Order: sequence, then C-alpha cells, then structure tokens
Amino acid sequence: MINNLSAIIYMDGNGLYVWVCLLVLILILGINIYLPSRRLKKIYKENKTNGL
Amino acid sequence: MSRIWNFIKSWTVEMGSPPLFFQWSSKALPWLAIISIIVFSIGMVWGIFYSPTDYKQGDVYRIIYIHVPSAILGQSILMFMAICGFITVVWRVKISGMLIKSAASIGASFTLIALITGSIWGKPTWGTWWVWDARLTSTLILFFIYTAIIGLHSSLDDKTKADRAISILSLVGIAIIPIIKKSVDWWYTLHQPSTFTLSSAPSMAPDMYQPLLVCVLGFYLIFAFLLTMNLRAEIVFREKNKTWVSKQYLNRQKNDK
Repeated sequence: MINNLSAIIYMDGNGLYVWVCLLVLILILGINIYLPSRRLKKIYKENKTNGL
Repeated sequence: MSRIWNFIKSWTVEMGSPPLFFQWSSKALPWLAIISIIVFSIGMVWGIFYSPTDYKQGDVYRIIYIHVPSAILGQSILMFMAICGFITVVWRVKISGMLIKSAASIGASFTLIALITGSIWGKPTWGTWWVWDARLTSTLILFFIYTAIIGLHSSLDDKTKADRAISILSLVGIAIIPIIKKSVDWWYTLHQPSTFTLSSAPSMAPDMYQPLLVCVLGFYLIFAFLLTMNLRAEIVFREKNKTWVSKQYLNRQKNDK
C-alpha cells in the first residue's frame, strides 16, 4: 500500500505514467457517455423544431 | 428448471422489441450506472492505492488495472458483436443489428484505451512506446476492424442493409481474436504471456490479482451501461417517426420541461 500523498502522486518516478493512463481512461469513457446523450438531445430538439 | 428457461426465453423475446427494451432500460439505466460506478471505483482504488508494489516493475505495473480490463473488453465486445451478427443474419432480429452498431464505438474505445495504456506502460518497462510485436500489431488490427465496422455502417443509408453488412464484417472479424490470444505463444514477442488463462492458476500474487478481477467486473458493468445508453439513442434515432417514441420519450421530455 502507498502511504502518503506525495508517494501516491510520485510513485517512485512512475506516477506520471499511471496518472496519464487513468486520465486517458476517464476521458474516453466521458466521451462515450457524452455522445449518446448529445444524440438524444439533438433528436429531441429536431422534434421540437418540427413541431411534432 | 423449465420455469426458469421459459422466463429467460420470454424475457429475451421481450428485450428483442425496441419499445419494450426502451421501457425496461428507462428503469434499469440509473441502477446500472450506480452499480457500475461503485464496482469500477472499488477496483480502481483497490488496485492503484492498496495493492502491493511489484518487486520488478515498481509502481508502473498499476497500469495493469486499466490496460488488462480494457484489452479483455476490446476482444469480448467483438465476440458479442459476432453473436449479434449471427442473430441478425439468421433470424433478422432488428434490435441485434442496433446492438452491433451501438457496441462498435465502445469496443473501439476500449481497444484504443488498451493500445494507449499499453504504449505508456511499454516506455518505462521496454524502453519504447511501440514495437511491431505480434500482440500489439494484432490488437491494432482489432482497432481497425472496429473502425471499419463503424465506417461501413455510416456509409450506408439503408440501415437494414447496413446492419446486415456489419453483421457479416463482425463474423469475419472475429478471426482476429484467436490470433490476438495466441500471438504470445505462436511468435516470439516482447509482450508478456496472458494475465488471464482458463487452463492454469494465476501467476500473480492474490493481493494483485483480486483487485484486477474487480476491475474486470467493473469494466464489464461500464460496458453494459454504455451499451444501454448507446442502444437507447439508436432506437430513438431509428424509430423517431413512430408513435411509441413520441409517447414514451419525446412527449415525456416535453412534459419534464
């Protein structure tokens, strides 16, 4: 187990690699959540504009 | 036993209907989101903060908790798409075509995560970001298969034809899976042997292995959540002119505002 905050961030010089990976994961998952929501919103807006 | 089988059969048939799936998923989606976030977070926190440091690789090995589940998902999603492809080709179930289309972008995303994180892991351990190694190259081909499926579907206006085309491509593309799996055995590679095998006990310590299993489960749940979201958007897009969509989704949205 990693004990203190600086050790968690630094990880013996490997922290950057680990945190960048986590960032990439969160970013790509975030895009995957955002895109279908945007698509649904767009359909709803189109529907509203067409007055259906 | 027959009652359970009948229940599974009727549930599967019901889920094959877009209106019923949409109705069911409206209730299931928030729960799926909560459960997947909890399991995913437990796995990540356990793996990154509480698992012991590797004696050889140090802390950089913690990338395993992102890289391995992503790689497993990248391959599993194509297998799932091939099964849906088979159903589309043989029984022409409409929702299975939508499932392939919805899963393709998620599969591409997980494969991309596996490629990027693997590359980042490669730098401190192998001394290079990329080598044209059998495992890496076959995973890159898997990513290209996903992009081909996405591209093919969006290039065809007739969605029924597009569904059939990507079904066939998924069925053909699945040939890459055994190549990826066996690449570390068939060729001399820099990549380490598979972390998960069905035939032998894990070579890792249980302290490292257990959080990895939780991460894999969390990633599968995240996939189920993302797939449900994508499928709902696909259903509304394709059936937007149908009465049930106006009643169940579009009018409800208006009432909410």
